[in-house]
Amino acid sequence: MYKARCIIQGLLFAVISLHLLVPIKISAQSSNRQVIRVVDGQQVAIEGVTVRSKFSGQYRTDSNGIALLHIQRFPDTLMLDAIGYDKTEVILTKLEPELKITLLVAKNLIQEVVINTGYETLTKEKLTGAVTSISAEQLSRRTGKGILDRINGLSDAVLFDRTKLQSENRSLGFNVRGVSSINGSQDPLIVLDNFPYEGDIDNINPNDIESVTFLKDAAAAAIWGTRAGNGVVVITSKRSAISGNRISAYTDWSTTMKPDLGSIMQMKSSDFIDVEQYLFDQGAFDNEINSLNMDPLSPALNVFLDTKNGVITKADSLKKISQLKEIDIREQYRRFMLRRMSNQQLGIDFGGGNNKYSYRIFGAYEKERGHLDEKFNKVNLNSSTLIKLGEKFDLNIGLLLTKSDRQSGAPQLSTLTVGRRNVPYLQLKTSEGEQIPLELAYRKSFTDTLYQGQLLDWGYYPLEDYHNDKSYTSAHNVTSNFTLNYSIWEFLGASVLFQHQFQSGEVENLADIDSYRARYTINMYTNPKAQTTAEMYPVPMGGIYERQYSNSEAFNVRANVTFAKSYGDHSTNLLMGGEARQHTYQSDKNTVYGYDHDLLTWSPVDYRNQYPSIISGALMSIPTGTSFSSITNRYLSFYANGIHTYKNYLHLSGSIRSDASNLFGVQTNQKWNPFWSIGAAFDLNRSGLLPKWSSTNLKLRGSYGVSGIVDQTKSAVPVVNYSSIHRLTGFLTAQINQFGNPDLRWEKIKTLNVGLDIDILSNFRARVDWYKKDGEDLFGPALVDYTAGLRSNVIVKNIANSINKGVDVNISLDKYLGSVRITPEVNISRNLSTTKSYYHSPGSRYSPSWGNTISPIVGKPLYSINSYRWAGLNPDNGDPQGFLNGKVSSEYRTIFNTLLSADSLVSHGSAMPTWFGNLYYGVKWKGVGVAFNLTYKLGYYIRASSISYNQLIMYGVGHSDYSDRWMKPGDEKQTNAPSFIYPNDDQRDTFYLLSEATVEKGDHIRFQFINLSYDLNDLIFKNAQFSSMQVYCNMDNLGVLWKSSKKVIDPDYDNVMRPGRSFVFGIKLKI
Amino acid sequence: MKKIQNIVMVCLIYFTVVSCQDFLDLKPDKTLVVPSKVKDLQAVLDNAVFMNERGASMGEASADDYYLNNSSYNSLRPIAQEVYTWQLKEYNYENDWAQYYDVIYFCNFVLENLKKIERTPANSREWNFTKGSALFFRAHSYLRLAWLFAPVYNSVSANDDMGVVLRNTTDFNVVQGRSTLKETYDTIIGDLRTAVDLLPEEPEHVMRASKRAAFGYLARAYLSMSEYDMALENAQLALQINDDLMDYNDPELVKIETTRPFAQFNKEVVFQKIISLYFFSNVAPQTLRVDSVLLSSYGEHDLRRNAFFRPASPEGYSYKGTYNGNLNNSFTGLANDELFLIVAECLARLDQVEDGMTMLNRLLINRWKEGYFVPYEAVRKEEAIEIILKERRKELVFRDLRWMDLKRLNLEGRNIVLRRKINDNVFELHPNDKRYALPIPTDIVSDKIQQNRY
Repeated sequence: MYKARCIIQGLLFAVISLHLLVPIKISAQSSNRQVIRVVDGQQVAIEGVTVRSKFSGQYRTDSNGIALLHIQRFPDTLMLDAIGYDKTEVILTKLEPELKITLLVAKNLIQEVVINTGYETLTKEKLTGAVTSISAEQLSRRTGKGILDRINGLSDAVLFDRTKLQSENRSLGFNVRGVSSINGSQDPLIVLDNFPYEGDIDNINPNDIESVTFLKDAAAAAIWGTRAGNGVVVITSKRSAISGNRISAYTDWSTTMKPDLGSIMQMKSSDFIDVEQYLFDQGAFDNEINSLNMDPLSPALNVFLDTKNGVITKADSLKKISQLKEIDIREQYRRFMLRRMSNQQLGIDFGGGNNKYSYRIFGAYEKERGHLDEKFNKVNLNSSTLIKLGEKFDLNIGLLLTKSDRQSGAPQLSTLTVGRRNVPYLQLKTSEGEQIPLELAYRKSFTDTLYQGQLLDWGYYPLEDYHNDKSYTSAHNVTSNFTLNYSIWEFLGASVLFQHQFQSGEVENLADIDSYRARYTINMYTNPKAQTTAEMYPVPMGGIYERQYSNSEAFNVRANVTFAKSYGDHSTNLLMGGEARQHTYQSDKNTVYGYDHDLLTWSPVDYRNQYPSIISGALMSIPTGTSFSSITNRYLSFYANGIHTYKNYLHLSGSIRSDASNLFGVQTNQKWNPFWSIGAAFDLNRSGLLPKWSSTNLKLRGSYGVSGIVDQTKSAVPVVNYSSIHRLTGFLTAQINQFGNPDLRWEKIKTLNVGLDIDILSNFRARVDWYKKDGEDLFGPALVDYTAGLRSNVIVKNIANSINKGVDVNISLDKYLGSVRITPEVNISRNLSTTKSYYHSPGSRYSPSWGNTISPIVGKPLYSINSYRWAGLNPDNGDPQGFLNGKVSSEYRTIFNTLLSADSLVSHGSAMPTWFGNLYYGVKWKGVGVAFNLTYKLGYYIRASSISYNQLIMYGVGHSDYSDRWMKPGDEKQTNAPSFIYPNDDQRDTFYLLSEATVEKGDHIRFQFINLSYDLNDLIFKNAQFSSMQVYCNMDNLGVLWKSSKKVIDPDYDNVMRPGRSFVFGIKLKI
Repeated sequence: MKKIQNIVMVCLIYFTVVSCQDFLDLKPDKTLVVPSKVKDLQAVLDNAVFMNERGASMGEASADDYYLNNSSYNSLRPIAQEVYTWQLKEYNYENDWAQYYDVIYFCNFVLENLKKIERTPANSREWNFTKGSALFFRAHSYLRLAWLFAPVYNSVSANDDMGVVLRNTTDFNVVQGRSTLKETYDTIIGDLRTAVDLLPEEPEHVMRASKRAAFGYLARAYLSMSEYDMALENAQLALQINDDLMDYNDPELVKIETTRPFAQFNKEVVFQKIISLYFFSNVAPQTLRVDSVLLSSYGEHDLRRNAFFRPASPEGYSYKGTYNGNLNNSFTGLANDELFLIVAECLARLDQVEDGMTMLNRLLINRWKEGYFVPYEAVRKEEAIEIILKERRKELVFRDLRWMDLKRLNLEGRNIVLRRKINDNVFELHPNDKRYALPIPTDIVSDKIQQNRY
């Protein structure tokens, strides 16, 4: 229904914009078709030549150097333009069978590449800052659904880790030149078509994107002010074509194999059952077995208990246990739950125009069925129109619609438990193919006899339940923008930009009467002794329906004045303006009981009174599931940006920006944060200082500036947060959730960048940047005397300064070897942040780290792996040992409490790759293309997972290291895994897991993808209606080629499911 | 053209100058407030999750009303095992100390902000109530902390003994040291005395503070200081307002044979406080086993035996007698039965033996099966005290009072020796051992905050 509605809306929109804005005419008069072929001096086809006809629009040559022109009138003049070649004009007087045009290599190269900073577009030659730009062509090297999938592994300075790095303040899973902020948002700012993008980044369709630009240093990014501290990613949609008409379309199908469960370091089922047996004999489960809570017991424990109580014989017991030892839940899960993921996408893109107006419309549809049978589909529609309103005005109108729907699928492996315990030998289906219900909350032997027949089934059927307990998420996004440019005089222009973004989202959770959740909830409140149905079922029979509706709205208004003038050897470009922005988010949530989705009936419940639990008799309230939220953030900014050029070879730039927001608890005069940058670029060739090498271009760049990060959640004064009415007292309640800190300051990042651009013969390019970023007043967790009463022993405050040094190198080649075109590209990035100073509260202890929090050790990496010093296992009992006052010791708590100096810990090194990048290699011959990409991450450490006996005993979470544990004297020579002891000491586990023994090198090289493509146009479709057609196939995620650690299977996926390989097949068409 | 230029310029100027302030003064999140009204502060004190539901388990875990069988002992964390045998030396966040100081922060926050709000005739009732409540909750926490972490109050040495940290600011950058025990108790008494004058006689709900509760806590404080005349006076003042007792014979009030015999907020409750999180799960009602000597001291027709305890598997008895109505959370607040016992004990100690026994019998008639209770009689003062103390222990079992009782009773020479047996090892805690002041957390010990000396 939603889909249909959306498609209709889309079509309507498309038709309206076509009729209102552009009197379109897709002409295809075959009589005037002129084929041209563009080659270089060696008769090799040149791709990407812009062919501008005087009367008949603009074209580009394909990979065979061919362009198909629709000539409107003779004689016509064709202007051919390609980077690295001289501009050429050809006069066409009549139709030719195939016109061959030869271009000569240019003597002096002029690059026409422009960079969009989100505020203005600059030619690359004037740029003083460090940027990396990824073109549409580069984006199409990879396949993948979202824009992030396409840029992953193809750019310098950008480090992806969508598994480990992801957290609440790192939701995008990548960073640009390392992480600067510590506690605020660590995500780079995403800018889509000039304005910050507040939506789900996966909703941006990569096929709709012209370029992605990473603004890496201060000169490039400072114009974004308080939000630029983590780098800025400027995404620009494809825009209206200048003239002529074109249509292109694509479609692809992809499938991803089932994830690899072998990377989950699960304990062997037989080992696990042996442990259960031992603990059972020790009486470790006595309390649980006898508890009134009726916690469910694992299958093996039930066998042991039955044997002990004489319910089954010893022989039966042994047989049952040996059967259980054969089962591996991973294998069950893979067989019965997981499926191949399939994805299908299609899209169409058409545009055209003339010198008065131009337009572009893009529409795309995507459908996916995931590994767990979750479903997703998405529709994108993007339209942009440029209208010239006379000589001085032009107007740009854009409208972007996105609609996505998601339906939840089968449960995650980790949720398949017995009570609170994981069981590695859990069986989902019997050998006869019958489903086995899981006991999630209470013992089956107990629930089976409880008010027999009066209650609903207590069993959880994981293979089926998700059909009855579904979550639907739908999101609707409408973004409209208007840009009005007005040139007052030749040198003075003004523009007003307006953008409105509206997103509505709906999350529906529907657990129907057959679902475990509904059955469980109804049972819990049932009163079997009641007389009436209403009294018997305080939670009425029927489904439970939760619905959350949210909407987010962002307004942006920006006004700019631009100034551009040359006088003699000097020329100046200036941009000044102001911007206001408001982002509101509102949501409300509601729950209905007794719901029938077919009849839309429901039943009221009593939230006020408490009802006894059928299990324990404890009084419980029925959860209301009602909440409201309303958040409004406002920002105001003023900025100026200028470039002064002297004699075409020296460029000086400067920018300044001031931001304010409605941050809570801050006086208005403290809300303004000024940021600035300066930069210079020097073109060695044009300056004449260097001997004129025939075709080498050298440009030196340098910049310095300050940007910042504002954290909206921090406050200088304590702030009280109202919660809802207390259900028992009826009083309004509140809690203090921001402890006032009078010393609060904003995090600042000062960046120095020096860069060199080299171009040789237009086909070899290198870009090298060296940078140093100083982070000041970074927020970090500081230990606090909790006698202060902050509900934590840690408080986040300005605590550290950091230095981040790095190098980004990008080298690419585009060369013909005979008729073979090779396009290798290498990215090498070096990045290392170190702690420069750290406020360490006196007397507080140092503690080891997992690498995800800032390290207090000065001079060592900011994100580093620090460990307890390891003295091996005790040869007598297999206890892990550390050092206490220089002596080998197993007094763990005393060791923890005596770590009073930084050198009492071992600092291994950075937890973030200090060297990373990729190697891309593309080869093309006569339309046949092969390309592959390798990525690498080097020079870092990870903390490997290992066995925690506390986790094993409490939650059934084991680890395959258990098989390697210390068992007898002498084992300590081969293993670091401690012996299994009971009673266990959780501090012993903590010590081992955070010691040197579990640290591994993370270095690895990954085979990211290989891509095969074939351009068919030349051969078969010469006379057909479309000018080019490409088929391609892509294999992605091909695994780790090399890794340093022997122990860890995949450093990015330690002890978690590893995604499977995916295969994509697709077609692209152009007319 | 000129006109359009003007419009553009006017827009820009407007944009730059006007309404920056208004635009930026909007509150980002509607649920946030910088507290400016009494209502905002009272809402903080009404947050029962922090104020009423975080009691400590450390004292009860150190006391002698329970034991652990070997398998329970083995399943405990090392610090819980150590507290059982009084061997605990080092432990860190998170702990009972922190829980009480969280409450103290809330109270200080309320008191600091209340100073900025003027008391007017219109708001004086709310203003007084909120101030009285904050003082009450703070004093309550200090008293609990003193019972756990300081030695018993001894008027001779109280000026030299270390008390607890008395926080008087919400600024977390300020570290404050430990006060003397005298200062600690002076603060507690002072706060409660001020609160008495500010609070209403009866609370709107027992989660809130009241005059009755403040008198009751004064009585508790004085009792632990062995100042019996003051304890008597305050306990009587509290009972003057309300002296309701539940008759355990009434099946509407007490469902003796069930697993939840008592209702939450029943009519004996003066002030609600429970333990919801056991840092020392030794004394979680389902884990502990009731001391067998204590168990056998209940008479055959004493209804408390079946109301408070249930047979556990594989052996022993566990506890179910909490006044909270939920088996998993022990009630550690104040109830009228305790006030009766304080009055009885103090009367006996002040040589009013007969009155003391009358008070005790008034309570116990409600605890025995109807028709079976034979009122206690005593002639000599010491005899009466013995009877009352025995009944005190039986009535107030697992109310987190035993540890304080042990301290004060040993001080007057009652010579109670505690013993634990693990496998074949026996641990003993002798009267007036330094370990009766439990160690404060290791990770807050500094030059300013000193550990107890052992």
